[in-house]
Amino acid sequence: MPVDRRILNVAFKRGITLGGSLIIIVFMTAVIIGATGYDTKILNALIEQRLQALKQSLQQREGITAEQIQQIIENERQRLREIYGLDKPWYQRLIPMTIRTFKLDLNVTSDDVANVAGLRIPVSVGDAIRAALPRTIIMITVAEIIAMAIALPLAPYIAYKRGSLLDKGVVTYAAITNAAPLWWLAMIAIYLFGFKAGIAPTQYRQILSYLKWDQFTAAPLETLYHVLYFAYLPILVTVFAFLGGWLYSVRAVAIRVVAEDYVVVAKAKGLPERMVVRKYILRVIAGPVVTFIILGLASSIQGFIITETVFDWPGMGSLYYQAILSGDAPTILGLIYVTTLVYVLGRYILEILYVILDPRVKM
Amino acid sequence: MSGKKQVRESLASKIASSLKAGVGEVWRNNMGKAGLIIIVFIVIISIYALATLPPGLPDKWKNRLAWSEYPTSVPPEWVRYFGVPVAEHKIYINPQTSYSGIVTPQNIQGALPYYANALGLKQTIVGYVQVYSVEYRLNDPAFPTGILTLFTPINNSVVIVNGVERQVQVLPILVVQRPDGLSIVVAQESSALKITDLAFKNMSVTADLFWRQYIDYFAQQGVTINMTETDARGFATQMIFGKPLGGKEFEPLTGTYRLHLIIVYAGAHPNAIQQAITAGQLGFEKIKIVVKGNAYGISGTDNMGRDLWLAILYGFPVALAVGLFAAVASVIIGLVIGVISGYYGGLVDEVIQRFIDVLSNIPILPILILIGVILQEKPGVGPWEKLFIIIGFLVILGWGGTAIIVRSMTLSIKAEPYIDAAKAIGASNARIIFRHIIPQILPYAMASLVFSVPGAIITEAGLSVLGIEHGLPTWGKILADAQANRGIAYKMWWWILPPGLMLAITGLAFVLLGLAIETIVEPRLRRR
Repeated sequence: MPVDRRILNVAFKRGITLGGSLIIIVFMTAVIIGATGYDTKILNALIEQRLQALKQSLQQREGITAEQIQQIIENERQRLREIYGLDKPWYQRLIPMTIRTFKLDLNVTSDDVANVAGLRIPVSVGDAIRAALPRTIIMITVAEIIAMAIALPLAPYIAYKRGSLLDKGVVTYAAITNAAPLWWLAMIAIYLFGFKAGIAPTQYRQILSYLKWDQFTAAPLETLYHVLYFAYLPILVTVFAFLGGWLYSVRAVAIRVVAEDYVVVAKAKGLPERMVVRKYILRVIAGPVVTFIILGLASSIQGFIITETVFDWPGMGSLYYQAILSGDAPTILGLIYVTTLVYVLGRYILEILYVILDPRVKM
Repeated sequence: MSGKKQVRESLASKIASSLKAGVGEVWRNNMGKAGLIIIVFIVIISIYALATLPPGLPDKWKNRLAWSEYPTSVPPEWVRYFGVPVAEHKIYINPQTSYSGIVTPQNIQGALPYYANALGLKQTIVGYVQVYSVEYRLNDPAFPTGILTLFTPINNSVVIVNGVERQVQVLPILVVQRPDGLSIVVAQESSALKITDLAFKNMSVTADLFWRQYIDYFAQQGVTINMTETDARGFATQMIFGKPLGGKEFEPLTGTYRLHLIIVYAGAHPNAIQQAITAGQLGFEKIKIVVKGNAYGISGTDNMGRDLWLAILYGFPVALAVGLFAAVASVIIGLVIGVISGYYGGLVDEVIQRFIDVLSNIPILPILILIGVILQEKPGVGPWEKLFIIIGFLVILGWGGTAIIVRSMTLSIKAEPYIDAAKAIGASNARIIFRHIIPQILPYAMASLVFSVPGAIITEAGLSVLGIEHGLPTWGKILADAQANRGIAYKMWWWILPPGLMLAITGLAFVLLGLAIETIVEPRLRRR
């Protein structure tokens, strides 16, 4: 069937482009890390630290000569350098590293990164991401969904009432939230609600000990209460900052439709406002709005590096930041891979949807 | 050759005239007017900042010692208009000498009554003495946060007596005469030292010298202060400027305080010292007594005593430079590549589009942070260099969106019949691009340029907050220091509010301007 052929064709072509993007992005990140010697310095320090610990424990043991200790240390150094791939130049490590990234077959190298995840070394990059992801979802993805839920029904009406006081207010609100950085609003929120009013925590790292599945099953209400206690301010601030953007962009899409002749005719016919909005506006803007929703959700799981850092919220953003700060190359690559993968998948689904829903789209 | 030149000139004049018309139209739009006014303000403040700020500010900002004369962690002075009691920050330079002469145990009572009256006095001064006195009025019930004395001695520490060189030594003592009549020694060097060594001493107050006398004095008046010597150290300024309420409680004591800086000269015969001082061979070029207030300047200070207003000012030109550079560069790249992609089509178009595909999937912020952290480790890169390398990467990663829009506009313009007509009469590609395509895209490019300014400014500030620093005192840097000291800084609104507000206002100005331009260039958005 021609339609299926077309879809398959698009699925194949876009799959190659987007998959190619993913591979190039991860590979280039590995190049940046390798070529600048950014991770070798940190890995060397890490190896020396381990050897020092080994040396101390050996010296406690009896019946070992200094030469034997030296020998053991040297062997261990050789072994560790091989494990971390330091025995080869960076460009030879590149391909195996990239491949292991795609298999998520790497271990977190930094204790600090493991701490953000709330786990202890040795821990795989995959586990660290699995630990941080729910915390980002509970803050940012939830906030994104709340903002959507408010904006989607409201924005078309605002577009319909173009030029009204409400409309002007929304545009101003959107302009302000566009200009004021979310992480700064977070700082102000901690000052106002945390320090001044004392109704919100000032430290958020402790969410680590509450957001756990076994705790939730053991004492659901209590756990929920604790999680909400830590999460409500970050969620509120994020919703406040997102809502403006959502209202404005959905409104902008809707305004184009409101100006179309068939909407003008529908209005002129005297159809009730609600019907005009639902039948003639909502349906038409569904396409672009779905785009916003899918891309918004897909990018929300990246976390917000700066805002999470300000709250000291141990999600994906903090994991990213700690990994970069401590030169933890496996975690950086793992995160780049997973977050880009989700985003690329979102775009892929969208492009397939376009073709299925709109027969005019050609690739 | 001349044809090309002509094309360029006409393009330039076209841009100029459309810009003029554009500004006029923006001015007629309310949002545009507001945006323009704020931007003009920002430009004026930037010029003022560049003209008045000392060139060494970035280095001074990093130097902890350079801020010792400032009170630490205090709000701006104007909080007094909101009913907050304020102890004024006061700097006395070269105060009046209230006494100079030779003091002996016989005349000390008459010469230095406040010193003699300081209870618990165990030493007696003998020698040539100079006293510098100042008055400090405490009007509001508030505690000042410290007293600091700084010296710039004349670069000579010897006098010649009968052909023999003698080292002159000095002992500085600071006495506070309180409104309630109590006099206390609040600062004193532990022993006399070479006068030129005073240049490196900032004398600050310590309760060690007066706590016992102070407690005894008030015990006689029936107020019991429960304090050990160690306790008292933490309460020095509250004890000096306060009235004890018992226990460890103090309330500010308003009134006029007299501060006497007594300099005792020793090491040679008093007459010889007196002669040298009168001849201007010995003594001080400058003496500074600072009573640190509990509020400072227009924007307060941080925990290092740094005057935040200076960084707020410095932030204006930096933010403008960052925002405009990033926006102009990324829009120009996006415009050129978008037009090429759309106009030439074919393989060129395909390659560019796939490249943009990759670009648009890059998680920009993590990559920028990664590059920033790597740059931090590289020695020998100057602050402005670092700043512009970061912005350079922001530009490299950020032009994709503009290019996509420009390409689709180029495609639709290319399909217009007048382009075919131009081609038919033999117009070159360059002529068509520069005369017919770019002038039409330019208004859209302007809108997207203006819209991308706030993003660049905010991204740069955000990177600072994460510790990716270039070393310039900017809004981002203030907030970065706040984040680094989050336990204390998030309690001080004057530390976190103004820099973010500046970011928001600057961003808002460009967003408003962008909205206005958008309404003008997108006729369908224009109100009917």
